[in-house]
Amino acid sequence: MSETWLILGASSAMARALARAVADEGAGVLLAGRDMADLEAQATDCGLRGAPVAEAVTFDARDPAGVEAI
Amino acid sequence: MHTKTLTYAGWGRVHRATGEVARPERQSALARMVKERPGPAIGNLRSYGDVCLNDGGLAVDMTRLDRMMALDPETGVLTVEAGVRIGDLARILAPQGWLPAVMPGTGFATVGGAIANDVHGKNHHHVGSFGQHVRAMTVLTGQGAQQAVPESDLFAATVGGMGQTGVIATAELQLAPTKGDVIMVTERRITDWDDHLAHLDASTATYTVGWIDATATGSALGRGILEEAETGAGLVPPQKRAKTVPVDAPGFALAPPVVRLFNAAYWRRVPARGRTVGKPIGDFFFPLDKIHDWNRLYGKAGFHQFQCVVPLDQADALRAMLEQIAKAGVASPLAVLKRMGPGRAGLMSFPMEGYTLAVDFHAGETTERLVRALEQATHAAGGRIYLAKDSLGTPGMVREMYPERERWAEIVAQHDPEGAMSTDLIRRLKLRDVA
Repeated sequence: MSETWLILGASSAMARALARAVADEGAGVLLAGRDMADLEAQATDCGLRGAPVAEAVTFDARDPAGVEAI
Repeated sequence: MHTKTLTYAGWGRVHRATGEVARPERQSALARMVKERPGPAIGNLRSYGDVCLNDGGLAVDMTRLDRMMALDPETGVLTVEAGVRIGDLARILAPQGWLPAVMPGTGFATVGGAIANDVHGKNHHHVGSFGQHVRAMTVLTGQGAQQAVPESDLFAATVGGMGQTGVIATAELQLAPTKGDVIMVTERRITDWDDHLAHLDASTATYTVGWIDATATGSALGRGILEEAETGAGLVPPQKRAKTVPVDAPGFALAPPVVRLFNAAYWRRVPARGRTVGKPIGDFFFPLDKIHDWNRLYGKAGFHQFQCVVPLDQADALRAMLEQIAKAGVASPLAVLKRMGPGRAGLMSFPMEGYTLAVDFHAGETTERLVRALEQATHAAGGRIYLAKDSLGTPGMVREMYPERERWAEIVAQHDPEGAMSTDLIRRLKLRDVA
């Protein structure tokens, strides 16, 4: 697997499980959400599990500029 | 925070607790929870008795706080959340050249549990206990988040301290280097007790453990299989998928004649000349994890594990205990003999330099009588029983086995004066009482 997944609302439990499963398969993850401290910890975890790209991105669905940026 | 009322049990399934359980998903929620409504942390419930139970009270399930937060690839210093499983660390990090320095017999144990019980592994004689490889940890106490570092009172009372100082939120671990995720295991038949001790004493391998046939009597008393192992790189068939025990097994599944037959066959499975085999590391470190819910093999009533350690010069007392066990005829195939070094990191840590014997028994009156007699024999030999396994210990003897208990209780009282972190074992053995 060489693709990178964009996961929105990535600090929820379900999104976290998905990010791990994707990382375990060797795909990259962009973790988007509001709680950056939590997302950065999650990104480090995914990187150690094998994701070649694992980054936290600020994203708030209520902010049009943020949606545009994503 | 939202809680659920659950009934849960230790791994031995003899004791059960019913109480509220909270399962925070983030560190911020955990910190809020401990501040507003403190309660003892629990992990995967792999300690056998009631140390992980809080009947009628609140418990904090740490299993969702299980992330690796940072790894320095040069030094092998890893920062983790306390709910991460030891087996996951081994599986993920061994191919990257690192292993937890100490691993208990199940990979389902969490880092928080490994610290709280200061667990040991098959390399204790060389590297000591788990807590000796913890560089720092964050403990959420009544006074807020505190950093605990070696040499501090909080560290000494938290390592092996059964969660009584507060909730361990994160930990910084010094990992051990490994060449890969394969292990070469040399197995040899051991004919009797003296042979077993002689081989354990002479072993220079990094990892050494003896399986012991706790049903063998007479000249075969103490026979078993010695396993010595070294990690390395190589190509071996991958670990097989775990199977699950679907229902509670009937009573005859581990009846004495069945266990005797099984043990005899298990002993003979290793050729008389011995053998060396390569395996995935998980097969060696966590052999029973291949059978999910193996505790159901003991049926509804559950089981007890007795584990003690006695000083080196009390090997004869341990032999007498094994004779008692073999004569009682209630032992299961799960029995282990190891030599321990002196390493321990906390005031309530189990290890001492000597020999440790661990045996599983299905629950029942005969077992209770036997375990109480073994506790007395351990006490008389100047040894101690392992509280992570205990269900039947008595306050007087256990407190004497842990000579630093009173100092530990004083430090604990500073951090948790209301006793909010207390669990069923702590209350049963009156461990926090201060004279």
